[in-house]
Amino acid sequence: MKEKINDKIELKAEENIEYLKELLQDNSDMIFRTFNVGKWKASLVYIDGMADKLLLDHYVLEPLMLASKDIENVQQIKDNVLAVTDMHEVKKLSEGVNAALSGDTLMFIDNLDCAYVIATRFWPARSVGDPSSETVIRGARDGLTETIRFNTALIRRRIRDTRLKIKPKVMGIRSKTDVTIMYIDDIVNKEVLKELEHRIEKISIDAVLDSAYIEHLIEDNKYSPFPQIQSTERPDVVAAALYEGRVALLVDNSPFAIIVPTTLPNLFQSPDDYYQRWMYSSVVRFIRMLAILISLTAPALYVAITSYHTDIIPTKLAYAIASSREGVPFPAFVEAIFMELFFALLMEAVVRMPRPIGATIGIVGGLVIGQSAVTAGVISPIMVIIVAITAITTFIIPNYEVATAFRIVRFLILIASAIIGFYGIMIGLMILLIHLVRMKSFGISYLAPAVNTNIRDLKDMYIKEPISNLKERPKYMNTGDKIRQK
Amino acid sequence: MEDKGKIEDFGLFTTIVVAIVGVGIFSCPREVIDKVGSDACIVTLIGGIVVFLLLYLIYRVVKKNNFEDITCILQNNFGKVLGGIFAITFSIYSIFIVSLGMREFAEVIKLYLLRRTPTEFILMITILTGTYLVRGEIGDLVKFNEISFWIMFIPAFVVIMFSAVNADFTNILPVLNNKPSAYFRASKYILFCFGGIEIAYLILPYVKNKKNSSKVLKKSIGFVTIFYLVIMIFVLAVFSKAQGRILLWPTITMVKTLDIPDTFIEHWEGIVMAFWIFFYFTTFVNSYFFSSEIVKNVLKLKETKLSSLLIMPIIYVIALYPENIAQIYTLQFKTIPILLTAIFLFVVLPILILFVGKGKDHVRGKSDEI
Repeated sequence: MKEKINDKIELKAEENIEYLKELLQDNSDMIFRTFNVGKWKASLVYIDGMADKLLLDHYVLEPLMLASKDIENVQQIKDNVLAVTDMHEVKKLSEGVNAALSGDTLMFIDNLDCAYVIATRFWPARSVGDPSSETVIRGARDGLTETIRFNTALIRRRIRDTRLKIKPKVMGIRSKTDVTIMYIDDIVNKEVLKELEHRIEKISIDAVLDSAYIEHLIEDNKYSPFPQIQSTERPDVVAAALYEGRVALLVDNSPFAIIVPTTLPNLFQSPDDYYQRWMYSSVVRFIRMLAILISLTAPALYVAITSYHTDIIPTKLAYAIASSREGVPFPAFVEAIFMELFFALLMEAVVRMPRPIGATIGIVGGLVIGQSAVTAGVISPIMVIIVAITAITTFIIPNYEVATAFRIVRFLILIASAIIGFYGIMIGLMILLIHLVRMKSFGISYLAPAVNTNIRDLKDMYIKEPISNLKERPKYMNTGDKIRQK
Repeated sequence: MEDKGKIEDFGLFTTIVVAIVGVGIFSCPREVIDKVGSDACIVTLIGGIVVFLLLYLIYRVVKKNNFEDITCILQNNFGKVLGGIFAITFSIYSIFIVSLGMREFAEVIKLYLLRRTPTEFILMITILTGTYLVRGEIGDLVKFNEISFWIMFIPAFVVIMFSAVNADFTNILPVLNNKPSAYFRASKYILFCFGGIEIAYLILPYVKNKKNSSKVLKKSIGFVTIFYLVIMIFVLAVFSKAQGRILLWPTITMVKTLDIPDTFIEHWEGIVMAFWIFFYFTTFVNSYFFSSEIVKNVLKLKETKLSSLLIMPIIYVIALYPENIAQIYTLQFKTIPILLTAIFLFVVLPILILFVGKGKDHVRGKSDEI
């Protein structure tokens, strides 16, 4: 799989060009330009569409052409003639070729055994816009983009500390994707950092197309529906994570940064919690936990109560439910499965459809079909209510991956409740709890700080205390520097 | 093994509490009130003190042997073969008690929640769920205990508060009108309520803050005693001793009397039953893990996964053995071999180890093997 590139840089510029033309044949966007500089020949190699031609014309070729007569030796060209700030030498041809394939310009000059790489990366890029997957009421509206350098800039604006480290890596044997590891040196948990670097070293894949690839290759437990690594489009979330001692990975071509280690309480938080007033944030956190419980158990409870434990609910309510289920040909469990299936189909369809039609289908599917099904007597109205409540509560969770994980779990709990009623629901929830308790993310318990509890950490977990009380960093993270504010 | 030195004080506290507080809560009040009437509170206190002493014995044994695990202690002090036999006895005893408890639990579930489901199925599901947790490390078990603690005791507190509405606290009087022998007989039952303290053998070696551990143990026994005391008082207060000795499971009946008007749910016992699954389950899974650890260490297997698979069918068979609830209670309380084993394991053995055992020196060598 590894490509074979000659590493030696010939002393004659034209020989290098001949070799590269052969290596990169059938590539119509590679541009080769040979010209004279004084007595010597020089050549440029770049990719049309990825390199900034204007920079090359004005600040490389123009000074070279103008100073052509005055140059006495080739060493002078780099120091005295080229009017570019970002350039460096490479001794190996393969490094130069990789740079050229990334958008830089490769320059060969006769009698030099090294080549120059001039930074000219400039390609059509999306401008910084709203992060589409995480909206907040109050807070910055810039989101990460597909260009890694813009992303590091957006994050660096929020951490102007000398101890911020941005370590580069190249991953993907064919894609050679730029990846950076970001952390704050004196805060970060060194063990997590070491473990992360160790796992990244082990990856040997041909292409890394998105941060998701790396996320799935380094996570602890791939057989769990729950994400163990947080992915976010917001630079303020990344910065906040770095301040807590976590490590962020940015991947070129991906607007999603990934943050390790991640705990489930992290995934339940939204940046809004920190930008709104603390009382409201505490209430919202409580609502989220309630919502999770409802979303997991609502259809299962309906099935369990109507099939097994009819004596739990008040008699009047039992009569109301029974009469609304009059004439429905299916048992409660089959109804519930139908509605779950229908809802899942609707959701997938709405996501994939072009935007104008998506909203319409949502209304048509939800309201019209639901109402018609009830009128036709195929499902009972109570089921529609339950599905609606379930749908709303599922998406209160800020993180999409956790919401989808809970959808899967809900389905399983529904099946358990159909088999053994209430006990099935409790066993299902207990199995979920055991599963979460056993999970770890890079050595930190997945449910920290709900387990291994420390009073200090509870200030930001079930409720959110005012920021003046949050004086220390989370204890379960074992950070270097422990104090946030005095 | 990698979790050595990782369990915090709160983890120790919750583990002891949830391992002890189990289904005893259902059946104990009836037995005790039957024997001593309204002196059940005093008997509970006595039971608490006795258990405290037993736990202190355990702590001293573990401390003297430099916080090694139970198999190591037994094998160091009594030799490999005899120590192994004692360890397996421990394991069998724990499993026996917990399997009978599981049968009782399944009967309660059948009565209140699932009248038509076969008992075998309920047992199987519970055992499999327990096995899923036991396949993890001890750190996972402690984390589960920590969360279960809150899930168990917050609703319990709520239920108790609501029950106070129906309570007539004068029913607790008169006190101290029983013969001393009656207290003695009642203590037998209350001590089974407090069963589960052997979990301390499992947890103490892994505690982070060893100096604090005796204080934490005291606090946990205090908590359990107070909790049982409160339950006894409320059962007496709500039902008075005449009815308390008739009702099979007075605690549950007490919950049945809850009536919060105009809410969504009329009969609360189903809901409360759901929370009380945790009461039994934590006791079960802690004992199961303890036994698996012992079997693993004695047979020198590498992981608890294998030993738990060995124990799984044994639990199932023992749980299915009694034919009805009465037989469960006979087996638990009235069988002489069981009583003798219990006394041996909890009283005789620790005293032997403390006074006769070899202590720290030989332990270092053995522990390197494991």
